[in-house]
Order: sequence, then C-alpha cells, then structure tokens
Amino acid sequence: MIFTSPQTRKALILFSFLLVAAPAAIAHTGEGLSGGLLSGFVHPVRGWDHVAAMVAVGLWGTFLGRPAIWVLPVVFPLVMALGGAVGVLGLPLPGVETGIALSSVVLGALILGKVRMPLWGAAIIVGVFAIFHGYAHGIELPTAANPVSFAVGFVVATGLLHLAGIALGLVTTRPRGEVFVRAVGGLITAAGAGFLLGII
Amino acid sequence: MNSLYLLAAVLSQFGDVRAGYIPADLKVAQVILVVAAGLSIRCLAKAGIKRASVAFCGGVALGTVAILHFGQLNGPPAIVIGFAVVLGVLTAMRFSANTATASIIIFLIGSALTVASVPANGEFPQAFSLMAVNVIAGAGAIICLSQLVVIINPERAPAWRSIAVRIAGSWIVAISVLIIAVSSQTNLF
Repeated sequence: MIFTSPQTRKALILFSFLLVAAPAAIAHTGEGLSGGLLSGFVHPVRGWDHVAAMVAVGLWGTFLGRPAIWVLPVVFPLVMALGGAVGVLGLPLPGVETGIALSSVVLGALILGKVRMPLWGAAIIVGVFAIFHGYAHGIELPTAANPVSFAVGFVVATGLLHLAGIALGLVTTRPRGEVFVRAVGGLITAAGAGFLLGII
Repeated sequence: MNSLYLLAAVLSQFGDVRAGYIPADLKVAQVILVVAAGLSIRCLAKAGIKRASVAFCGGVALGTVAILHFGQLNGPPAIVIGFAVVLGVLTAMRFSANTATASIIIFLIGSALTVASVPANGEFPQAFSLMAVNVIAGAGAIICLSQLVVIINPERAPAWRSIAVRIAGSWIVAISVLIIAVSSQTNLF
C-alpha cells in the first residue's frame, strides 16, 4: 500500500467523485450530447425492454447463487460487446427486437418459476440474449458523435442495471423475500410479453 | 497553483468527454490500458513493489527502443487495446498470477503503455519528452487507480465488492472490443 493514511484515501475517493461531478463543456453541447457519454449512458436506461432484461440478469444470478451471481453479469457485457461489434460492422442479424423482447419474457419466467440449471446453461441463455441487446446498441455506434464515449456510457449503464438486479435479488435472504423476487420475475415476463405484442 | 490548474484541466477534459468530444491529444488506447492495469492489481500483486518497478521500467525501455527503431505505427493502438482485453478478462476471472507471470504481465504493461503514449503529432526524437510525460502520467494513474481498487476491494471485502470489481473487468473487455470494432470502420486512432 502506497497511500496508507485515511486522509489520503478520503482525498483519493473525493477526487474520483469530483471527476464524475465535472460539468459538461458548454462549448461542445450542440453536437456532442447527441452521441457522447451521456447519450450512451441513457440509451439502455431509456428503453424499458433493455432495463427489464438487464435487471433480470442480475436478479436471476442472485437467485441461482454463487458463482452465477457474478458469472451472469460478467458474461452479459462480454457477449453484448460481440453483438455490438456485429452491429458496428453492419452485419445483418434478424429478429433483433423480437430477441430483446423475448429476453425479458424468458428471463422473467425463469425467475418466476425459480428455475435452477447448470451454470453453463444459464450462461448460454444469457449470452444468446446479450447478442441482440448488443446489436441494438452497436448499430447506433458509428453514427454517434463520439463512438468511444458512447460505448463507455452504454456498457457502464448496462453493468449498473445488472448491479441493481443483484441488489434487488439480495432481498431473498429476508422473510418473504423469495416471493417478492419471483413476483418481480412475473412482472418482467408480463412486460416482455407487452414488448413482444407491441402493447408497451 | 500548478496542481490546481492540473485538477481543473482534468475536470474540464472529463466534461468534454461526457459531452461527446474527445480531445485529439487524448490517447484512447492509453486510457483503456491504464484502467485495465489499475483494475488488475490483485492479479499483479504477487510481483511485489521492487520486482514490479524493475519489470515496468524494463517494459518502458523496450517500448522506447521499439518506437525509436520502428517509428510511429498505426497497428499498436489496436494491439494495446487487445492487451487491455486480456487484463480485463484476468480481472473478471479474479486470476491470481504467480511471481514470474505477474512480472511478465507488468513488463508487457510497461511496453504497451509506452507504445500507447506516442504523441499524435511530432517526430521522434523531438517528441520524446512529450511521450515521457505521457508514460509518467499513465504510470501515476495506474498507481492511483490500483490504490482505489485496493481500498474498495481489500482481502476480506464483502462479497459485493469483489463482484463489482469482476464486473468492472468485464466492462473493460466489452468497451475494448467495441472500440476495436469501431476503429475498424472509422479512422479512430
């Protein structure tokens, strides 16, 4: 350890928060915000179909326990990036919207049904759906004002949604927590069905 | 006063990046590598401070010789980001290297950081001082970030902290893969 004093540690953490709190440069807002870090960050958050699936990944991981609690949220962005690369390269992928909506239906149903399966099976299911989510983000990347900051934004937002799912899943340790998590799974499935049928 | 100016410069540049503008002199490959190296501290810790310092300096020396010999190439940024992918995978897997492997990885980080620190404009050896500043700043950033990771995720940390670091490792891989894909379509580097 190089920084051992508590004051130095606090200063380091404060500095990190200051970096996050830095205001956007006004000089570049006209063109940049349409494709920068912020727009990349809000891209998954604005689409409820994305939000439902991402939260479901974290939730299901918590439900399955270790090591799925970290394997699924790690597998998702890795495979999502490959799907994003396919989108960036302009290769065709049929049924993207259907795949995204189905991800909510299937993952929600797995949580609702308290389905337990081998880790590799869960990773494959999550990985397959991640391709569709990544592709949807990837096709917008080359047109972004800055593809790098857009990519950073949407990957971080995706990971934070997984962490939100994990946090939500931790209520399973409390009385009736499991019932609550399964109910959330049911809601995600219903929302997915709504996306699939075009109702939502 | 100088440090205040430096802080203001860093903060304003982060605002630019958030708004979607990346300054021409900001080395994307270097930033990704620095973050990946900082996150993989747990994997590299076995090397120890002395051995790590020697390995890092050796890597920087090798990188410098390579640049002076071959000049500025277009390929290295993609290779550097590819190396960041490896570091991200090691972080996500919570890989624990032995002393020799950790030293070799640190040596490669030194080389990669040097290659990634070549200034966008300027001919060598005139641009050498600018590159040296980039390397030193990168090394400082790696140390700061690794300290932050150690603070957040010490040996006996709650489970969620190690999960957060693993997930951050997977972010590095995902972002790097996307950058490589984008750079193949646009003239990013």
